[in-house]
Amino acid sequence: MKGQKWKWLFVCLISLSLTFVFSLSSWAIENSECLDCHGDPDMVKELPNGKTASLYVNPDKFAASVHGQNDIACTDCHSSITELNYEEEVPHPIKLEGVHCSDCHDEEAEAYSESVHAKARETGNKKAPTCQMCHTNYHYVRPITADTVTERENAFCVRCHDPSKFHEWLPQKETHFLYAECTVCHSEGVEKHVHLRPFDLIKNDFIPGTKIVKVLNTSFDDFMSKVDTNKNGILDIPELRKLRPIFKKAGINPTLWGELAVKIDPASHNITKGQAIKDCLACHSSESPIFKKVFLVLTKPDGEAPHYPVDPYALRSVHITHFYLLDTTRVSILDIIGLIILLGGIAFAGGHLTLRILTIPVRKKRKEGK
Amino acid sequence: MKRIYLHPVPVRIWHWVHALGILLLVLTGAQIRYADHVHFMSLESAVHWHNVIGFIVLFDFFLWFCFYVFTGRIKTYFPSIEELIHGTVRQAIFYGFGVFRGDPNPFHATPDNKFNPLQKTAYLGIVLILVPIQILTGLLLWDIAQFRPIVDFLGGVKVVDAVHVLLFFFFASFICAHFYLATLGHTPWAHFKAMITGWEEEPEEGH
Repeated sequence: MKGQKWKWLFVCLISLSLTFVFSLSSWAIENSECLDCHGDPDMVKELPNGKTASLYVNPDKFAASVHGQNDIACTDCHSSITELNYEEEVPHPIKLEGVHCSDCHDEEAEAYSESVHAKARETGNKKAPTCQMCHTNYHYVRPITADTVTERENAFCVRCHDPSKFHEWLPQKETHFLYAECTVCHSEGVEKHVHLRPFDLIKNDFIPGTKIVKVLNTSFDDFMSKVDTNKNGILDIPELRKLRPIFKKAGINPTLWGELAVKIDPASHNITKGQAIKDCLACHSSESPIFKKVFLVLTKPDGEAPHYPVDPYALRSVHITHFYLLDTTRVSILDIIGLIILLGGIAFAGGHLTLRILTIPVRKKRKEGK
Repeated sequence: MKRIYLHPVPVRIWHWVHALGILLLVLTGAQIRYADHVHFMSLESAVHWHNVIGFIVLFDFFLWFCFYVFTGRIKTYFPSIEELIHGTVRQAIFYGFGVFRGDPNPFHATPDNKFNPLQKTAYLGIVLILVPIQILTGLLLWDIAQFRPIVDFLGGVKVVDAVHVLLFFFFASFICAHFYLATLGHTPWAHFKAMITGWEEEPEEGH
């Protein structure tokens, strides 16, 4: 009985070792091996119709992509390639299974499956987008965290949809398109917040985060500890105000460009139809939860953009001059001054009228005296 | 009772279009600014009507301005040095003391000179400075994306909005004061009647 136990243990060990060795053959395929061939711009395959299709993958662009940055191996996606046989002209099966983004991006796929895009696809609409139709070539998908609202819209929605043809009910639609991402209204369950991006008024362009941290002589990681002087984890109005002279000294005239963006989140793939936010007060209200989350966004060259929390009240201060939403970010001090102006007019009229009424006997007496 | 034809038909039309327009702009403006607290109409409708009425007032004001400039009538809004220094004081003393004692109004309107020195000075600022600023800021805020370079040049959307809002409060206050001051004719309704019929009545004993 004891010998039997050892025998089973031996079999298990052998099986595990074989599994490991077998798996190793696929793990061992390095991206560099794939790029030995696919890194050649002339790499093509012939199609049945006589034309050719490129099989080239730009190594630099792949390395800069979100997949490259996260060390995703070619064979993680092209999983039907388990080994390379260099004795063959093509060292892997010629016919490969399609790439399934959902193998890794399951939450995104689930949100997409609920979307108007997936439903249109199910009904046979070939124009309805799949992953690649929005994200383009999956070899080069870049992080879009650093992209502005306009860049995100141009890279995705606007490629198929012309928003100016719709939204007739929306006042100042172009202003809305400029400052609010499509998915803010057209995507359910996704977190929305305000981005404040340093903007150079002279150059009429956004200031890269690298320049900001350089001027402040800090790094992206140490930015908060440098700027958040009271260490409450939030950039307060006085802390933001203190930055201005530093930038002016460096020859930069920055303002903060505000925009309404969604968090890069799987839920943003659930684009809805007929359920878009049409209630103005969802945003245009001092109680709107969207404006309780405000971040200073510093962009990195790789497309990432660290978000640093900002006191939401800053939006209502006089220090953020280039971002304003009706109701939501109204400046309280103006209401106080306004009330004084209004009461001044009423008090003048009321006071003068009261005196006129009180002095009626004086005028009456004078008239009678005449 | 002396009767003077003070307000010709076009002036009366301009006045009442402006009056109704400004009143509605103030009301819709209040709804726009306080949409989260005021609910007499939706924000969307308030913005729509504020824009429509804003353009009517803009057009109406433009016509009035051109007419007054090209006919030279605009000079009625410019007080002379004497009026500015002595006239305003004289008129202010009348409104502050004389009117309560029953003193005669030191100013007598004529068709060519229908504003007293205080009115001239106030209207010069209101009609030639504040109204144009309000129209201009309103125009910029009507389409921020289109006018963004100008808005940015002026200091940003919040700055332009602040000017527009402060003037909104001013005009709200002005409506109260203007309405009250209009009751200071020889009877409380005399000036109102004049702005409807065109004929201002003035007691003979005032002369």
